[in-house]
Amino acid sequence: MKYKLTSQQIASHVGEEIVILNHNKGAYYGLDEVGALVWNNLEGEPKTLEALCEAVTDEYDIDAETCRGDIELLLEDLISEKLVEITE
Amino acid sequence: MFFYKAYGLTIFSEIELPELSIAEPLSSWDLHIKYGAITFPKLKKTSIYRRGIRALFGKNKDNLVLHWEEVATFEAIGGKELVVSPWTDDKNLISLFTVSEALGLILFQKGYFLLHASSVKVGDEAWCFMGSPGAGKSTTAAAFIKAGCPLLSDDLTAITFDASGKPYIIPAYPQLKIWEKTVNGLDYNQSDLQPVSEGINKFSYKPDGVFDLNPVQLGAIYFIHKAKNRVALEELSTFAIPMEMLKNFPLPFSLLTGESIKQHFIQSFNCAKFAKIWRKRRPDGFELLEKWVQESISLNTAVPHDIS
Repeated sequence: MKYKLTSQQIASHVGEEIVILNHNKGAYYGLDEVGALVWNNLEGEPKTLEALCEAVTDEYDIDAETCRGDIELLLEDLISEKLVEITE
Repeated sequence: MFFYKAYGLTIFSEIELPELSIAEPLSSWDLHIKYGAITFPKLKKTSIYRRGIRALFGKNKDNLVLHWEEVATFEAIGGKELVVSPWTDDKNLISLFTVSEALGLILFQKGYFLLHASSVKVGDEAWCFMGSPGAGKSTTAAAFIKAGCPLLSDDLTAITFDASGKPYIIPAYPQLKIWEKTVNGLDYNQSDLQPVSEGINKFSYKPDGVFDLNPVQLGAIYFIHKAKNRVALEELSTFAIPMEMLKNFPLPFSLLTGESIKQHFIQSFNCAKFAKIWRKRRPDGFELLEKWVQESISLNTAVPHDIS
């Protein structure tokens, strides 16, 4: 199972931060540094949860279990706002 | 028949528009303004007021219709044609309403990024002032103009982008509307001014000389406010940028859906990438305003010393 960005979103990078627009809803979202790292990883191609966790643990001093839980929560939020969807 | 130039467009108009720069007669033009009958679509209330009248807005397919009770109805067609159906004989009123939101609809159809703002040229860059009504947009612009900066736009500001996304302000027309209090506070000469039919205590100032129509690269955007509980000057945070730009969109918000809100979002960030965006508390009184203007100008036009 992989996660990918939907066609309803458009994002702009400004420094370390990312601002996302869901243009169907007309709603804006902001992601902090860690959220931005996950988002950047999704921008290239669909990714598995494991790949996303690896990207974050490579970059930050955090244990794999906590990291996995946090990313699952983030993905849930992004999915409910129709910014990310599940594929394959 | 009249020929004008405004917002980078050549205009052929059946209506006299004294606010605009006059152009030589042409055999072709970018925009045709003409009298005509308009079929009313379903109209909805907007949050736009002018002269105390609330604008109603609707669409006939892709055509945009703006209706001002007892003044005029406008229909913008493909960014090339503006049909005017007047409901009053007051020529000044009709021209005032034509060169504001109605012309804005044409600029929107042409894909320009629009802001409810006044702008001036400082050194070789454009500075743009926004804020809620009464915050001091025009007053700030008037102080810069008094200090010798050319006026670029008042009330409706149009921004275009080059291939790399760099923003440029397109000069509008040579007219600035200022409050009587500003006229006195900045010692504007009464003989250079005309009363505006826009309401009480407002004057129209037409800068002398040639109005330069060349686009000017955007250097700074200031959101002017009067809040005492905020710092005097702060850079706008990234997350606030699209929202603030949206708040200052000068046309009906219902225009911003799907593709156009996407474009608005991208254009907002293009402005932010190339220009500094500030939230500034309005200087307290005209003396401090003029002091800030002088400091800004000298900082921005300082010539680096050659130390060879």
